[in-house]
Amino acid sequence: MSELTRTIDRDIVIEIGDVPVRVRTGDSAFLHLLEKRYTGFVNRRSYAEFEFDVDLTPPGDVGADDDVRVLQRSGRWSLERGDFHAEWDSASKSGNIRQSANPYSIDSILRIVHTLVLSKQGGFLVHAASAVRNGRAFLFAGVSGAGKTTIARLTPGNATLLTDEISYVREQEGGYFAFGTPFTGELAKSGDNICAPIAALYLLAKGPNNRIEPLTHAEAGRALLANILFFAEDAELVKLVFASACEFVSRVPVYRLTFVPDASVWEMIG
Amino acid sequence: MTPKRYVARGSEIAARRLGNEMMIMSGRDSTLFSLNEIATVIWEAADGLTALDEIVERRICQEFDVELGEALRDAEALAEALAGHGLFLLSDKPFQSVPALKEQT
Amino acid sequence: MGGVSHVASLFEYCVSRPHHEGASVRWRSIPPDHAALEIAHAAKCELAQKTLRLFGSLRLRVTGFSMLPSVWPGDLLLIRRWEMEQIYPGDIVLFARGGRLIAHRVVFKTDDPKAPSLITRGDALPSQDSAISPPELLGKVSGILRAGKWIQPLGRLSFGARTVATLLSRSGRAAGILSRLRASRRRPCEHEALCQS
Repeated sequence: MSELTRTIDRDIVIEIGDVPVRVRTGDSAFLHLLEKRYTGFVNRRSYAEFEFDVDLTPPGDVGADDDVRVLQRSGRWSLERGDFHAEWDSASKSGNIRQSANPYSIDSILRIVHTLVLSKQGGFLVHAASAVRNGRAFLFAGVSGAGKTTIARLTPGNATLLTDEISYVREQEGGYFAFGTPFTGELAKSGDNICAPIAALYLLAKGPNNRIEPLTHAEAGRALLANILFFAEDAELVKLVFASACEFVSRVPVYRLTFVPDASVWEMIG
Repeated sequence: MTPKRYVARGSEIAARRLGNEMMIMSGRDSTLFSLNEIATVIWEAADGLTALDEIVERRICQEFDVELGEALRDAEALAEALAGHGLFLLSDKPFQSVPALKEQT
Repeated sequence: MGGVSHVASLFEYCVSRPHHEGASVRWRSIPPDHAALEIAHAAKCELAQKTLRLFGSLRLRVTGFSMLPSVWPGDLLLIRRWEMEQIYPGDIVLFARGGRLIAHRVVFKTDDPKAPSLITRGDALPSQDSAISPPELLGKVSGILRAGKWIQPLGRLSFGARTVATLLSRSGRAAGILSRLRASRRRPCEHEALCQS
């Protein structure tokens, strides 16, 4: 069979948090970069919940902004930053992206899309490391330097890392589940593409000895909200995320975990 | 005679009680407020129909054993500060209609 | 945790404002007296690296002179995260070394796919930096903000610029003037990480 000379669209399905997103492009080199970047989260099946067509532009920014703008107009979302412009229709669940062949632009777009999707499902992305032990997920939240990467690095052999930087939380089956993500911090290692029910959220603090203290709901709510990732300027969505965070701390135990940076901390967890 | 003060909750906000404290988010600029237990009493009683001095006398002074004058001064300062952020509406007359106290379920 | 505003002794409340960090809005607590926080230089550099790694984008204020005349102290660089395989000679890249952030131009790129590396040099410097490995590479300069205008970085110096750069790199006197200028212009920025270039 002779080869067709026109560009054939190829696609890749990137599945994070059980949400498959198809990315379609005519550029096989770019596709290869995506496959490399999202190893472990690439799905071969044909079904996707959301679809994006990608138009690649030459490198060089579309505009000069590094702050992302996320806006909604009649169910049509627009995501804009200096290095990409994406539009997405929430009814047809399809959209298009204009960007250069940089997989990190798609990275930001995917994070934003997932945050928007999660907000309707009582979930959110949060600055926290997470790992699964004995079939239960534990989250470790904190600002830069609080110890997320340290706790992730110290994960023992019988625990599985979900992420060292951005945790994926969704409400389902009456509880909260954490999912592995390819969004990594210093550890530079993708998490496993698995999920588990969340047993606890720990707020990290450094100290001379290991200690776990319960927090009041209000303290937990403030701490969680201080670490949630959210991009949209849409007031309704921000309210949804606020409600999700408050609901989460009402149902999942939240503690302050003060710890010494060695393996002994994990003896207290799971 | 000091004019009566009526306080109502603002409408462009999302609020949720966590334990004894009230978490409130301003819809205007996403500023997050967290009121302590006593301030939460004012928040929940701010139906726009009850005067502030009545709220303070009935709900604050008796329950927390504080003197009315001091408590009322503090309550007025709180109401004004939060009104500045859009969380409260202030008036010298009872409000005609007021957003109901919505709890997230 | 967080800032507490004492309206009065009985009624207390905490306020947190959204804080744009990279591409996200996060609620951060406000210290009650809004005192400017002094952050150690090294901590700022680490934070800058984390922001770039996480959000793919970062702005840095230039304080050094090594990239004259293409990049001036006071310029604001827009950095985007890119993989090494997509970087080419002529690009200005950001890398971390010795607790500092440096933005220099790529002069050479090794072809070996097993051990890719970049050789860089400041336009106004006489010698090359030691090779940059993929973990050290943070990103590429995709724009420069100077006096309110955004400039696309050129892949190569114009003849005139190259002449100036060569003179600077060869002149000890120029180096002396530059370092005196550098000392007088250093000023801490709260919201932009310092970039020694």
